[in-house]
Amino acid sequence: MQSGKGLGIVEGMASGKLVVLRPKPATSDETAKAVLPSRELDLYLTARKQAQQQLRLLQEQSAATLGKEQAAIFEAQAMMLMDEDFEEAVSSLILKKNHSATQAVRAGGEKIAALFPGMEEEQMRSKSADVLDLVQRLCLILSGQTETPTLPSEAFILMAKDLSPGELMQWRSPQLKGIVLSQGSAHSHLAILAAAMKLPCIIKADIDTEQAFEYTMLALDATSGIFYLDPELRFMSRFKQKLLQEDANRQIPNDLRFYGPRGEEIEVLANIGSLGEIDPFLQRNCSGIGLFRSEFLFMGRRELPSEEEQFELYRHLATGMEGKKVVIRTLDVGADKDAPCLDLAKEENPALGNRGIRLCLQREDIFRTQLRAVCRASVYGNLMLMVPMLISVDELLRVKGLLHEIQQELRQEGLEVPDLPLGAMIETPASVMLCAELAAEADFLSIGTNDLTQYTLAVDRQNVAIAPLYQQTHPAVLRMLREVIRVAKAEQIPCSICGELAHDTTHTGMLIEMGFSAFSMAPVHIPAFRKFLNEHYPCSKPSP
Amino acid sequence: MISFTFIITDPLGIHARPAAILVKTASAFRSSINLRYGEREISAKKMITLMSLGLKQGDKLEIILEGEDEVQAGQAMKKILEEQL
Repeated sequence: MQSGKGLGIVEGMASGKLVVLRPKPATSDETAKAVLPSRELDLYLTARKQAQQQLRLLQEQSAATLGKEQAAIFEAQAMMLMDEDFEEAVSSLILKKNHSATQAVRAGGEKIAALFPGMEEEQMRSKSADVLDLVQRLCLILSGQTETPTLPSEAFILMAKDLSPGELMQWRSPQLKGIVLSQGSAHSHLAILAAAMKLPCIIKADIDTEQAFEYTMLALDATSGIFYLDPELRFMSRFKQKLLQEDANRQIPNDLRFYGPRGEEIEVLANIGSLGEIDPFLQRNCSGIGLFRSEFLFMGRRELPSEEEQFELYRHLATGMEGKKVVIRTLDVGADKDAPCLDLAKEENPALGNRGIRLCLQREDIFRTQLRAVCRASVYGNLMLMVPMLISVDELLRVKGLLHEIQQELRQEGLEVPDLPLGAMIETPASVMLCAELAAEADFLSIGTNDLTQYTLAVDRQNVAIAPLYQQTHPAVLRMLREVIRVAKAEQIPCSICGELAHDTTHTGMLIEMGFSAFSMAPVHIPAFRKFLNEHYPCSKPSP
Repeated sequence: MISFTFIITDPLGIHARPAAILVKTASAFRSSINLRYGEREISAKKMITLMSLGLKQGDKLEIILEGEDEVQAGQAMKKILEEQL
C-alpha cells in the first residue's frame, strides 16, 4: 500500500474507487487558420451565448442547493465571460490575426489571465483560474464535446492536477466522496464549493496525476492530509470504523427531536432540486423534503421531460426518503429561467409575468403530464403537491379539479393511487389576503418568504441598488406571517416556512413564538440549524 | 463630483466574487464611477479591468463619482466596499 501527503482543506475521511481526470490532448483544429473570420466570429459569439446559459444554470442550481456565496462564483464567471475586454481580446485575434474561434479564445483568454497580477504565484493562479475555466468551457462548446461524464454508481474519489468549479459541478453526485489534487489552492472557488458540499479535500498532494498508474482505490484522511492508494482490506476495515466514528462525533445525534414552548415538535425540512441531494445525512437529519423544486427537471434542455422520466424521478424521491414526507412544488418557472423546452416568450417583467401556476394552467398538457407522474409515484411513498404563485382561490380549485380528474383516470386504468395532499404556497400579498379561503380548500400551507418579501415590498431582490430595502423581517412581512399562521391554526392545517428566512437562526426564536414549527431550508444549513435548536430548545416533550 | 478613499482590508485582495458584486453595484447607477489606484484610473463598471488592478490588502483606492445619482451611488459603493473588501 502506498501513501502520500498533501494539505487538507476540507476536513473529513473518505474512501472509494479512484477516478483520475487527465487533460484531453488538444484537437488538431486548434492550429488551423480561420478561413472566414466572420464565420469564426459567429462561432465564438454563439459558443459564448451557450456558455452563458450553462453558467446561469449552474448559478441557479448552486443558489438552490449550496448557497449565495457558491452561486456568486458562477455569476462572477458569467460577468467575465460577457466582459467587453474579453470580447475585444478574442474578436481582434479573429479579425486581425486570422485565428480560428478556438485559437482566439485560448490565446485571448491567456492574455486576459495574464492581466491579473498577484502577490504570490498561488494567488495569481486562483484569480486567473476563472478565466482559464471559461476558456475551457468555450473550447469544449466549440469542439462540440459537450458530453457530461458518466458518474460511477459506487463511491468514488476524484483525483486531478486541478479542478474547476464547473467540472466539480459536473461530477457532483451522492457517490462522490472526496477530492485529491496535486495543485489546487486553499483560496480557490473550488475550495468554497468543496466545503459547501462537505467533500473531504486534499490539495498539493505529492503525486504526479499526469503519469499513468494502475491504482484503483483510494482512502483519504483530509484532517491529517494523508491519502492511501490501493489500501489493504485489513487497513480499510479499521479506516471505515474510524470514519463512522468521526461522522458520529460531528453530528448532533440523528434521532434527537426538538420541542417548542407549547410542546409542539419543531420540524426541520429540506429544500432540494435533484435526487443527487438525498444522501444518508439528509435521510437522518430532516423530517422530510419541504420543497422539491421540480423545475430543475425542465431547465437547460430542449425536449420536455416525458411522463415516464418524471415518474421515475418522483418515485425515487418517494422511496429515497423512506416514507418521510416529500412536498413537490409544481413546475415553477418564468421567462427569467433557462428552459428552452418550454419555449417561453421573452417578457419585459418576468417576476410579474407568466410564471408558476399561471403558466401551468395555460399549458395544461405539460401540467397534466407532471400531475400524472406525481400521482403514479405517490403509490411509493409520502408525496404531497404544492402550488406556487397563487393569487386566487379559483386557481387552487382548478388544480384540485385537474388532480381529481387525473386520479379518476388512473384509478380507471387500474392503478389504486392514494389521495394526494394539496398545499397552497403563500408568496403573493393576494394569497395572504385570501389566506382563509385558500386554507379552507388546501391541506396545508407553505410560505415562500423570498417572493413574499419581494412582492410585498415591491423590491426586486436582484437589484443591488435597492438591496438594503429587501428585508425579510420588514414589519409588513412579519404582520403577514402572523396572519397566515393564525389562519392555519384556526383551520387546523400545517403551515411551514420555506425561503431564506427559514434557516436564519437570528429570527427562529421569534417565528417559533409566533406559532411556526416547520422550517424548510437548503441541506447545507441543516447542521447549523439543528445545532441552534439543540442549544435553545428541549429535546424531550415539555410536560404541560 | 464626489470622491472618497477606501483601504482594502480583505486579506485576499480583490478577487472574482467581490469584483463581480462591485461591478454589479456600480452598473446599477447612471453616474460614472471610477477607481483611482496609483497612476491608473479605471471604470468600476468593467470587471476584467477592475481585476487587472491587482488590488491587495492595505492598498488605498480613490472612488470618484460623477452624475445625477452620484450621492446614492457613493453610498451604495461605500457600503459594498465595506462589506466585501
